[in-house]
This record gives sequence, C-alpha cells and structure tokens, in this order.
Amino acid sequence: MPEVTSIKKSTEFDLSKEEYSYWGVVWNRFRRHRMAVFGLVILTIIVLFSIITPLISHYEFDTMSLEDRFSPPSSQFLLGTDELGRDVLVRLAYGGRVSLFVAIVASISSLIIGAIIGGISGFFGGWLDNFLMRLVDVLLSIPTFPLLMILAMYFGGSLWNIILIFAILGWMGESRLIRGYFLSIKETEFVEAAFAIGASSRRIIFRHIMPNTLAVLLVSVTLSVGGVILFEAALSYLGLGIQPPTPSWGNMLQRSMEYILGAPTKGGGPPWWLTFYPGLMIFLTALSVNFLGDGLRDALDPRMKM
Amino acid sequence: MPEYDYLVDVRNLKTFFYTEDGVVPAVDRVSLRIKSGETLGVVGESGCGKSVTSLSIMRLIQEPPGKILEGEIFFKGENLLLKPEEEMRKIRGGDIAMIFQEPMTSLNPVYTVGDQVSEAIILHQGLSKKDAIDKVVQMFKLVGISDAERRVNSYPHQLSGGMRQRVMIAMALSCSPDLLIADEPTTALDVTIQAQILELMKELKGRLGMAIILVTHNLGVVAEMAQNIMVMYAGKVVEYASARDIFKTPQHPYSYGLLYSVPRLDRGKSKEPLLTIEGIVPNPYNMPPGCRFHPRCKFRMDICDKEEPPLTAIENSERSVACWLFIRRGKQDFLSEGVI
Amino acid sequence: MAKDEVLVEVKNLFKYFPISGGVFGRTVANVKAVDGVSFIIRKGEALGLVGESGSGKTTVGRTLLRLIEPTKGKITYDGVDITTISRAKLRPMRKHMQIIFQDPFGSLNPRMTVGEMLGEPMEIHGVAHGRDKDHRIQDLLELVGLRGEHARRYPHEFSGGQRQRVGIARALALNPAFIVADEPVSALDVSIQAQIINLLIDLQSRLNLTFLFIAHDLGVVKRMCDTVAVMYLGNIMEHAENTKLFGQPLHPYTQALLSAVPIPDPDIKRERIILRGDIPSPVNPPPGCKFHTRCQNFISGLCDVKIPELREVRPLHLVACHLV
Repeated sequence: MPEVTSIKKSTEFDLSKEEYSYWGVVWNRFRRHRMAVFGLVILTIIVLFSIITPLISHYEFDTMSLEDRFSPPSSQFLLGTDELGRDVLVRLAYGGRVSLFVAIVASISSLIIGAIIGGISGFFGGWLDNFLMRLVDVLLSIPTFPLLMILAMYFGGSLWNIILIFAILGWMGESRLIRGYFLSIKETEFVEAAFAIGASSRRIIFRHIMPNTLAVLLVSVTLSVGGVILFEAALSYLGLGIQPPTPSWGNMLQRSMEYILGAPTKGGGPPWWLTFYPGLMIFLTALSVNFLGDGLRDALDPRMKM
Repeated sequence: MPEYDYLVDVRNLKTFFYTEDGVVPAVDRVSLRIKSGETLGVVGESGCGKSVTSLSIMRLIQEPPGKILEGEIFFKGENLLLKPEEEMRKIRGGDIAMIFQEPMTSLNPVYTVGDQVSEAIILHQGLSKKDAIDKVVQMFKLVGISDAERRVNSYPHQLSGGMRQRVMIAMALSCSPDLLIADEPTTALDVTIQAQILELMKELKGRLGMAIILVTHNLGVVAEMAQNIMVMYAGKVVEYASARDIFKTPQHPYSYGLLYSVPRLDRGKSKEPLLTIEGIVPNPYNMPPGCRFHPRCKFRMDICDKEEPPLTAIENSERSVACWLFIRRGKQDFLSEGVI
Repeated sequence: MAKDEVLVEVKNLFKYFPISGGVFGRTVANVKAVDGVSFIIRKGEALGLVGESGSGKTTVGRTLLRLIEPTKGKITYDGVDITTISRAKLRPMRKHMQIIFQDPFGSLNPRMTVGEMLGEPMEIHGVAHGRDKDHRIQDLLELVGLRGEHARRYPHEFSGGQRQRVGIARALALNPAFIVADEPVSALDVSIQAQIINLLIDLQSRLNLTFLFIAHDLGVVKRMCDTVAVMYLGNIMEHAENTKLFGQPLHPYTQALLSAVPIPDPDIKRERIILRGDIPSPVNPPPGCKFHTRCQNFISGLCDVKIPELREVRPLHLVACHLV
C-alpha cells in the first residue's frame, strides 16, 4: 500500500516533549493565580497550626488555671487565657480542628447527596427529574437559618448532629449545579460516542460524565467549607452549635462576648484577645477558602481550553 | 482627482499580542494596497493573521494584549495610526465599514434591527430619527430585504441567518463607505444563502463603487469576488497577486498547496489521494525561524530555516512572493512539475 | 461477497422532535427533522448525504445508529431490523456500526487518555484484554497516521486534525463494517481537511468499509462518495450515482445547490441559479413539495398540493419532482 506509507511517514507530529497530565496543567494555571496561592498558604498554615499546636503545647484545651484567669498574651500564654484560665492558643487550635472537621465533613456529605440527586435528575430526566427538582425548590424555599436553629435545639449540638444538620440542609444548591452539568455533558459528542460503542448507563455516568464534573465539585466543596464555618460560628454564637467544653471558633467567640464590656483582667480593660483571635481565625479561614475556590475555578476549566 | 494613488495603503504593519504565555506575532510586516472600487481577497487558515490585519486597519485591536507596533495605515492619503480615537470613531462605520462572520453576535438582541441601523445613520449623518428610519427602509430594500417597512421593527432573533447578514450589510452601507471590510461574511451561511449574499455584494459594489477587503478561507469565494489576492500564513504575506495569477500560476508552495488540496466540484471522484500540506499550523508562540512555512514545505532548502525570505516583487507586475525557491529559480510551474 | 449486497436499508423513516410549551409542557409543535426518508446503502459503498441546515441529514445519521430513537419507520442492518430491538440486543450490534463526529474538540473526553479511549470499546465488547489490547491500540494509532506513544496523551495535547484521527481510530476500534461520518472535516482548517479526506479514502478501500458520509461541502462528497442523496427539509430530493448526480442533476434544488458552490477558478463562469428566500422552518414546512416556495419551475395547483414521490426516473437515478 504505497499511499499508506506515504501518509504515515509524512504526518510527523511533534507533541510537546513534556507530557502534561490534566492535574499538571491545572497546577500550572493555579500557580499563576496569586490570591489563590495566598489562600492555599494561609489555609495550610491554619490546618497545620490546628493539628500541631496541641501536640507540642504544655496545656490541654481544658487545663484550667484559675489564678491565671483573663491573662493577657504573655510569654507563658502566648495568646492569653480565658475566663477559666485555659490557654487560648491551645483552645484556638482545638477549635480549629473541630470547626474545620465539621465544615469539611459536612460539605463533603452534602456534596455527595447533591451529586447523587443532581446526577440522577440530570441523567435520567423525565418525571424523576421533575419530582426531584420540585423537592429542591420546596426545600430551598424554607428559610435555612431558623430551620437550622430549630434542628440544633431539637437534636442538641453534638459534633455529629451539627454535621448531619448541615449535610441535610446544604445539598440543594449543589444538586442543581450538578444537574446542570450532567445535562450539558450528556449532550456532548464524547458521551454520544460512548453510547455508540455500547457503553452502559453506569459506565457513562461514572467514566464519562462524573470525571468531567470533578472540577466543579471541587470548587463547590471548597466554597461551601467557608460557608459552613461561618454558619457554624453563627449557630454557636447563638449557643446552639458545638457545646462547651469542646471548643469551636464559634463558641469561643460566643463565650467571649459576655466579657467584652469588662472582666477582671490582669492588666485591666476588656479581654480583647478572647474575641479577636477566634474572630481572626474565622475571617482568615473563610477568606482564604474563598480565594482558593476562585483560583480553582479558573484553573479547573472543565473544557480544558489550552 | 484625489491626491492619493491608493485608497488604502498599508505599509509594514506589525501587530503583536502580549499574553501570559508569550508573544504572538499575529501580523508581521504586512503591506497591502487597494485602489478605489477594487476588491482585495485576504486568504489563509485560522491564525494566519487575516482577521487581525483587518481589525488593525479599523484600529479595533484590544490593547492590551494587542499592540500595533510598527507601520503606517494610509487611508485616503492620511495615516490612521496618527489619528486621535475621536476621529477614528467617525471613520469607523462612516468611511470604513465592517461586516463579520456571525451576524447574530454583532446585533444587539434587545433592540429592533431598525433601531440599530438608524443609530449608525443618526450618528454619522446627523439625520432626525424619522428620516433615519426612512433611510433604513431604503437600505433594507437595497439589500433585498422583502417587506422592509415591517422588517425594521423585527428583533434580530426573528430573522434568519441570511436576513441578519443582509441587515449587517445594510448597516455597513448606510453611510456610503469608501471601504468595506468583510470578515468571513458568508462562512456561517448555507451555500444557497451564501450565493445570494455574494450576488448582493457584487451588485452593490457595482452600484456604490466601494472598495472591499474580503477576508475568507474559502478560495471559491475570493475567486468569484476579488481582483487581487493576498495569501497569508502565520502572520506573514507569502504571496500577493491578481486573482488570475494566483489561481492559474501560484508561485508560493503554500498557495499552490492550498489551491490544490481542496476537493473541488469541477474535479471528479478519485481514489487518488488529494495533494496535502503536511503537518500542522505552527504554534503562534513559537514560530519557526526563517521562512515560517518551511517545516511543512516540500521544497525546503538549507537557507529556508535560517533566513526569512523577503517579499520579492516581480518586475512590471503587481505580483510579489516571499519564497527562497522563487528567488532562486524565478517563475516556477508547480503544475507541470506535478510535485507535492 | 456480492458487490450489490445491501447492508443498510432505511424505509419511511420519520423523526419528529416535539416542542413543548405552556404550563403543563404539552407538545405544541414538532420539528419535522426527518419526514419520510428511504434509501439503501450497499456493502462497500460510500453514500454521501448532503443538504443545508435544517435538512435533517445529521438526524438521519444519528437515527441509523439509534443514538436518537426514530419516531417511525424501519431500519435494517445486514438483514436485522434494528428499529425496535431492545438496548441489550442492540449492544452487540454496535460493534458493526460506528460514528465519526464533526467536532474534534467536543467528541473526545478531555479526562481520558487516547489509549483509554481506544481501549474502552474493546473492554465493553470483550474483544481484547491486557497486552493484546495494548497492541491493538498501537496498531489503530498507526493505522490513522498517529504514533503508538500517543496512547498516553490527553486530547488537549493534540491539534484539531490529530484529534480527528483519534476519533477515527476510536470508530475503527471494533472493526466495524459500517461507519456514519458526520461532517468529519468541516471543522478543520483547509490544509488539514485534505489529510483527513485522504485518510478516510484510504481506510475505506483497505478495510472495505461502508460509509454514510454526511456533509454540506459538495466538493468533499464528490471526491469521496459513490452515490449521493440530496436532502431538503427532511426529505430526499434526489439520489443517484456520483457522476450522474454531479453531471446531470435533475432536481431543481440539486441544480441550484450545485450552481451555488463557488469554484476557485476565476475563468470558470457559470450560469448561477440564485434561489429566492430562505430555507423554510422544519417546524412548519410548506405543503406539497417542500421546495416549491423557492423553485423556479413551480406549478401552482400541483407542486404546492401534492407531495412528489422519490421515483426512479432513469436507472439508479431517483428524483422527487413532479416535473421530471
């Protein structure tokens, strides 16, 4: 076959030497996003701080020292002590573990629920889609915060209850998002090609559609972590979140409010460190998570435009 | 008599784009000349710089990332690159008008087409709203929109693709431009509708006498419309000649390849492979050294990847070619050689 | 194998897409994409299906492979009626019939390597595993003019023409006998089109493939196809052998269509038939002959009333026009 050899020989293709994997490209793009890198760095520091501090500190989160109540930051207590003389630094780290754990687990759980319901809705369509989306409409019409409060009051503010409440109330937005992506990816020619080679629905969902929504899921989960941290703080602030003595940033903030106008501090004046540090942590975490989410959204363009 | 020889005289235009990934030499020392009433076809594949050339003439290059680095664009004897933006705005849509590939995106969906066309007329000719609308109806009739009085009140989505392109042409011609830049005006249209639009453009050109820069990848369209043709490749002019010369005796290997790799209606079915241009269009961030076409050229010589061939004019003709083989051998006859 | 053995037969195929509206989502109208189409494709033949937008040519291709369910009609592949068989029974048939898409960017899953993409059909149909599969992937890549090591790469690393080669390799992975090629070159640059056309012509003769080649570019169809069918608003207007259709087109629409194509030769001056008006909407096509609103030879009382049948006016030359 002379023609074939001529075709083969002549079409010399020079692909770039490096083989960029998908994630390699994503990382390259992510790196250029300064705010996102900043967010990632801050978040990493916060996580490491939360994990490591309790391991190396002399204090436990519930080690009380009544003679040291309301100590301002000093070399002994780097961030001061609270009304029971507990070390704020250690409690902040512990609170970080709790708050981040709640936020991450709750976000992932609600994402899983949202992905399943949105995926079913988008892929199968028809009456099932109609039913599920109307259910979402109804749930979204219920004011979330009062419902959160009622549920938290009813079930009590244990760690797992709080996670459960957030998971149950948080999936609707995500299910709509995923449904939208399923609908549009289902129309692409590569999915049509998968049908044409005889792929089963399961294979098309898990092999062809899901991996292409991964980017959106990641962005969504990141942004939702920030939201849950703020919500948890608000709940705790009302005394309905994680219950003391387990510290969370929210309930630390809430406790501190009682003393904001005055407390028998060592140096006199209000114990500002009780409010400032948990507030700062919540602020920094929410901010850096949002930066990170924005950067991921840009880096993870699902269409992979190069 | 006007005091200029050429309506449009672009000299050594250089438009680059500066992006995060590097510099794109989109238009690199391009020169072109058009006399009043003439049609120049600008031909090339995606990324060859044909659209950037026309946008540069209109001074519609986004800056940043784009920048017109060098060159002169004489229009009626005046250098457009020295004009303040305010004056350019009067020229755009007035003396120079433009139509694009996708008429839907060039029309605003929330206004009627009559409003949009009359806006340009009011802006450039200072007519009252009522007179402007009358003029629009006239223009719509001119471009063959049936039921023009009613159509001025239509919204873009209520019109078919061919109708929308007619509206765009009406808008472009409403201020009697001296130069019309048409960027792939029929690419988005069906072939029977394309025939209508081409016919219309030919007829209007005969009647109104404007010059046209026709940017397209469709060789059939330029063969029908243009007197002169400029073939571009990777930001460079590779050949510039009369339409007859290009189609009958292409001198640059790329022009030749382009012409003879297209399956044509005037040739039959055949199991013989089509002539091909091997390889792919170069990465714009990393243009090949020397002649930019050399990695795909079957006549590649030692000099081709070292030095850039200058655009060399043939004596006593409007024709010029940028190819070392041509410079070395003089006129070449690919057809009888049967190469490629 | 007899040369004129029929591989694909389509009889009275209809595909209406409902447009729903109103509060209750009732069907308020239908897009009559395919409105009674019949044709046959013989083994080893390349049938070109041409038409402008709204002609329904793409829908016919998709319906043949049951990627879209037909509204009514009958599709027979190699003697088997595949119109109504269950998806489970259809799956093994998919080995024999494949599709090549227009868009080299949308048709490849951006998250799978080329190797995974080519291996997937083999896994699904259990035709090759392990090293055997890897060998076949290498062979496929070389068959379409790529290199074996490209199996590890992701689609975004390739140019448009190279991706189209990957798409072709995927269609060939199961050794199909029949391929629907839906505008396989129209999204590519001019200089790349020729490479892909050459590849398809070469593959067709080497692998003895049967093609339904859907295109709007008449030059490409003339180059590639043995027979050509011209569609307009969901119907076939003319169906004949290549040289007959391009040499002596009989239907006024075919004549206009051919004369509308600009030829890259300034010396060729042709009498051009300019059709009036736009292509009507397939939601509400004209009664009688659908082309009558734009036809120069239109006879009132006949063309706008009676639907012309596609009949054999000369041997193997079918035309749907009252006046031929």
